[in-house]
Amino acid sequence: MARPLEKVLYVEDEADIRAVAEIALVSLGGLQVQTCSNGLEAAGAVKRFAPDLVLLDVMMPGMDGVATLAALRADPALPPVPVAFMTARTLPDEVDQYMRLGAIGVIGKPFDPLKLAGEVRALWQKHQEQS
Amino acid sequence: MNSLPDDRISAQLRALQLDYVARLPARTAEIAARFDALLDKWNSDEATELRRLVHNLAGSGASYGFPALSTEARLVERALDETLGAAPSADRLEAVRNALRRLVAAAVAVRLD
Repeated sequence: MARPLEKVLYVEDEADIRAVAEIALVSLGGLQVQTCSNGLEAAGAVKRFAPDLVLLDVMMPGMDGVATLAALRADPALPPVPVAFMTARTLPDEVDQYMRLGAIGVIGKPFDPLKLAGEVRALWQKHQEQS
Repeated sequence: MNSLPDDRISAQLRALQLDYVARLPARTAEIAARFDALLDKWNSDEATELRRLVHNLAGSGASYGFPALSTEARLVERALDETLGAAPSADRLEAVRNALRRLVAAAVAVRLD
């Protein structure tokens, strides 16, 4: 039986997007959510918060989402927590590229706050069924 | 998951939306000012920062209920993509300017229900 999704870490540099995503995931979705504003904070947040899933913005200044995923995977102290990208770049070729990098899926931006938690849970469910 | 927000969550979303709309003129003014500064003196780092600001607007607009804002910001972003790197041609800068005008118009047209 699939384990339910409970804890999500959301890495996003834009404060407005973090704010609306928190309401969407916490208040509407009933999830526990921690956010951080850049990829450098992500590893520490994974250690402290132990999320079931990490949502990664792709385009961030400094360490972007792809580099953040690589850093998470390169850290032997971290568990291989599933990662999904959140990006406006959702053409099939682009999604394929993210999947090859090890993401479990991609959520398109801008997102509908009323649907976001459902999309995240659907990704999680699919990942659980494939694992 | 709840499919429709209750009153408390609707109020939270509304408060966020009001704040977003209140800051929108300043955001678009900053974007326009940064582009004007680039026209005076082209700087790739500044162009990249401008692109980031536009990208954030594109990524947030529709989530706050303003899809036209995201659409126009995305068009500015694409026009800016053509300028990154070496000093861009006058045609490419004009394309950015036109896209920016449409973005500002979309921001001005934003109305709360």
